[in-house]
Amino acid sequence: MKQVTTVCPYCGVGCRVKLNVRDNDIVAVNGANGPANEGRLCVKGRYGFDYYRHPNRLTKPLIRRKDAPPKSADLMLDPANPLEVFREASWDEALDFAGGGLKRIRDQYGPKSLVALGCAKGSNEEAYLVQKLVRTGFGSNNIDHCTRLCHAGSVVALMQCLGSGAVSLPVRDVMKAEMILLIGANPAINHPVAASWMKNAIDQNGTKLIIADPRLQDLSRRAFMHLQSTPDTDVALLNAMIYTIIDEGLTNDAFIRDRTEGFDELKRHIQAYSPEAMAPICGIPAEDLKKAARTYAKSRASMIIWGMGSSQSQHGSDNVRCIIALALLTGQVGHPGAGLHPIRGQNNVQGASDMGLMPSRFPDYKSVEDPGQRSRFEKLWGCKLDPKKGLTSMEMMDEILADHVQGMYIMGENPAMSDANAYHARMGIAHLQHLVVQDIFLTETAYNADVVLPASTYFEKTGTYTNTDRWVQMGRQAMDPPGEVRQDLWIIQELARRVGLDWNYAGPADVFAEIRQASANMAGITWERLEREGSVVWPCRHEGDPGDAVTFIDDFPRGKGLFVPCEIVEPDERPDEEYPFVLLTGRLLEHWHTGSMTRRSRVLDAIEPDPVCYMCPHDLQEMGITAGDPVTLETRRNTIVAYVRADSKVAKGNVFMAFCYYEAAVNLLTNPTLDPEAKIPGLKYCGVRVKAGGVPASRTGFDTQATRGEAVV
Amino acid sequence: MAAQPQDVQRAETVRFTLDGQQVGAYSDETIWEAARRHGVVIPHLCYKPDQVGLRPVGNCRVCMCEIEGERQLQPSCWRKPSEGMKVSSRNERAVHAQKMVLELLEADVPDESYVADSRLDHWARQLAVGKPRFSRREEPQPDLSHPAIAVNLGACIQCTLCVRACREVQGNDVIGYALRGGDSHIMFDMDDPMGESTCVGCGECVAACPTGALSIAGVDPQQQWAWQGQESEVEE
Repeated sequence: MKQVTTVCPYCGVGCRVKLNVRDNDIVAVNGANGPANEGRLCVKGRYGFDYYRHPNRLTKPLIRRKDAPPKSADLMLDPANPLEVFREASWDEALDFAGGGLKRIRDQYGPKSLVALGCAKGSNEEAYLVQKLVRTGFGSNNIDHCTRLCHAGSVVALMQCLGSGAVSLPVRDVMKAEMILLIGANPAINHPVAASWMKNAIDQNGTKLIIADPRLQDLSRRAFMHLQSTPDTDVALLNAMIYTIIDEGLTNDAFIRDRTEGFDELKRHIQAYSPEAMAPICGIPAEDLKKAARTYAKSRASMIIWGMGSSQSQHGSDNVRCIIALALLTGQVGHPGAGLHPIRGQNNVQGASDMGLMPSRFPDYKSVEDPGQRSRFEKLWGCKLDPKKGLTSMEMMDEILADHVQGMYIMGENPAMSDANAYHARMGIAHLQHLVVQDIFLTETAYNADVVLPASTYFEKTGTYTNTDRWVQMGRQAMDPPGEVRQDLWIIQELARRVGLDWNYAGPADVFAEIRQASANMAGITWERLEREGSVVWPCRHEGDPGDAVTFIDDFPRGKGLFVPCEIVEPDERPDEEYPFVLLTGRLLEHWHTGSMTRRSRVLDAIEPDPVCYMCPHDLQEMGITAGDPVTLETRRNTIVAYVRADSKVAKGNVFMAFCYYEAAVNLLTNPTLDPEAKIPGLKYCGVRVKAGGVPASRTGFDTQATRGEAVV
Repeated sequence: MAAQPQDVQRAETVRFTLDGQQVGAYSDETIWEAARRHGVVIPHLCYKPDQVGLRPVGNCRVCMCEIEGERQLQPSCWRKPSEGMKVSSRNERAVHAQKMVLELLEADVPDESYVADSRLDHWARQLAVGKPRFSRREEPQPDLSHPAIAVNLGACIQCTLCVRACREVQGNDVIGYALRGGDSHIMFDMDDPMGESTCVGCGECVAACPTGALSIAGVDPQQQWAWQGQESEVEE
């Protein structure tokens, strides 16, 4: 038996774990004392580790057979039988075929004909190499990853208003706050250990929690107020709070004078947004809006934590601009317990963004359009770089269908399940001439791949991962990969060689050494220190620097904080007579993202085996639907069938569903209209029609249980 | 650059005698914590040191020590030393009490443990407590309704670590402690089977349980340790 101390592979909280490993197999997972968790874990981290040994695991490279059925958005495969469509190949053949195909397309159609999606579950080193492969090997900035569907709205607004896209203080600083404003996030489900610190703060310190979210949640029971707003009215709600703070003289005038700009314009603009005027729009009484604003402004230290509910919107960046304005008006940033925390989803979405897995940013968020920064990276990487921004993930699919893009490399992402209007993404994927997918399972995206490269799971490789608090943490290899599976860093490097790059990184430490040169904020972090301490927080600018867990203490990276007034933007799809309900999407406690990992975990699949949606009991009663029955959900884009649960946390007129079920993929229904700047789709809001009945998928999950009981509804 | 908390030298402001040795304690330390820093690990079951949020409650009485001038023994996990206090954790009276508690608790739990290293068995071994002389109790039925967590209250010693883990660490408020006297037991929600309760499966209670009354379902007891993940307990 050996014990390996590493970090949990699931969410952005970044809990440190201790794996008990015996005979190349994990027996049990325990919490270890890390800066984010102090030994605590949640159900996914403690019991959801066994996906790596699921029989569906890919263990040999696969090449699409010549006699395979034609690629199609409708193609459904059984991930247990990839040989229906693929044949096994040697690594040499598969890599030659994968890399050769990409190279041929680049040489024939030009560098813009290739696109790539990197992975927020992979390590910093992998993310760094993927973006470098695209920028120096493909020759464009056509690289993106799931942050586009996640916190793109936050990053755009934070970069514009403050000059940095990261959090200003760790989640655990809720213990120092007097008040927490939680907007569009459900941490008890998505960041359970972070939620435990909030509960501790409330129970032990009497910290006031105000939640703004259309759906009630587990934390609501402890909340000082829950503003159960009408969906998609964040700007109205936040502007009313801004109005109150200015109108009642609750502003921090010294802070506004010394550290911000644009206040006068905001003050003029906000006159149209009184709580009385906004109340009918956002569905919250004016007095409650005022009370929330006063509580926020008057507290000794207020912390704002927000999630996908704010950023996944057609006006996601506006929502976040308003959030930032609240903090700047009151000076609730940069002192203990006060700050801004866009809580990150994936275990390494912070790191993947830091590494430049974005079409507009080099590592460390340097703009690709800035000639000075570009020449710096040209010198570091020894080649000319594309001065133009690349395509975002949603735009990639449009460009593929417009025949502007022919080849794609996808490392560990599953846009066929995660993109808004996923059928459109599936059409794009099926339309490609050459698709290389690198993953641990045959995902819905991989069904239409030309070549699938079997990748390593988290437990089978070493690398660094950056959590939501900016802690760079060491993830240590615990086991050898099965079969012919290779570590991702090796696969990326071999692909790079085949598109003509001469790379010779000996391992993650080698890559990390180069990352330090690329990112001034991580320049002080050494591999040896990470091995010794396990976690180091950035910014850490020189060796020996302890790192700053709290930022924006004296100034903002852009100098002064900028107020950007925001107007209410009408969503392009309100509920109407035809589609009278609002469809909200999100996640479940037990299932992660598109479900490819958690639905293959014995415990998690046993707790939540079937596709379910949630509705208000009153709606069910009015419609004569019994909880547990199947219902059909239809939007302008598609139709799915799921079992319905009665849930009084869901407001009347809303339907909630998680996007983890391949047999009822809710993202087939969602609206792909993008935020104009962040290019993030409004995944959390569209009109939907609910009908009783429908035929649910005959098979659910991935046969993870040896024996299956009745549907648990 | 501000000094990091771990770099700050703390001052021992309280002097007291532990088992005949002059030792110092920090102002906010318990006897148990000070003793451990000075190399003495007093038996303990309802107290799991070093985990943020799990406060001591002093209910299992395994860590009893004698304080000169006080009529009753005191739980060292809970009591703080004061200047000049004379504490004995290893004299006859203290050890007799510790062993008696261990023996009584051993009589409550089955011979076969649900984890490889029950803390109760560990301390019974350490203090050479033999087979209990007391009659066994009737064992409650196992509750195997949850896919991740097996509940065998036959091994429960009512230490309430799971209650604190569930309510005070994770704030899930599922586990409660109900009824009186010999009927008292931990329960999930309104005494529901765990798999049907509002349990979110975080496993904090399993990590806190010293006897394996709460253990990982489907994993061989020989591969499970009570208090696994414990970082820095110096003993054995």
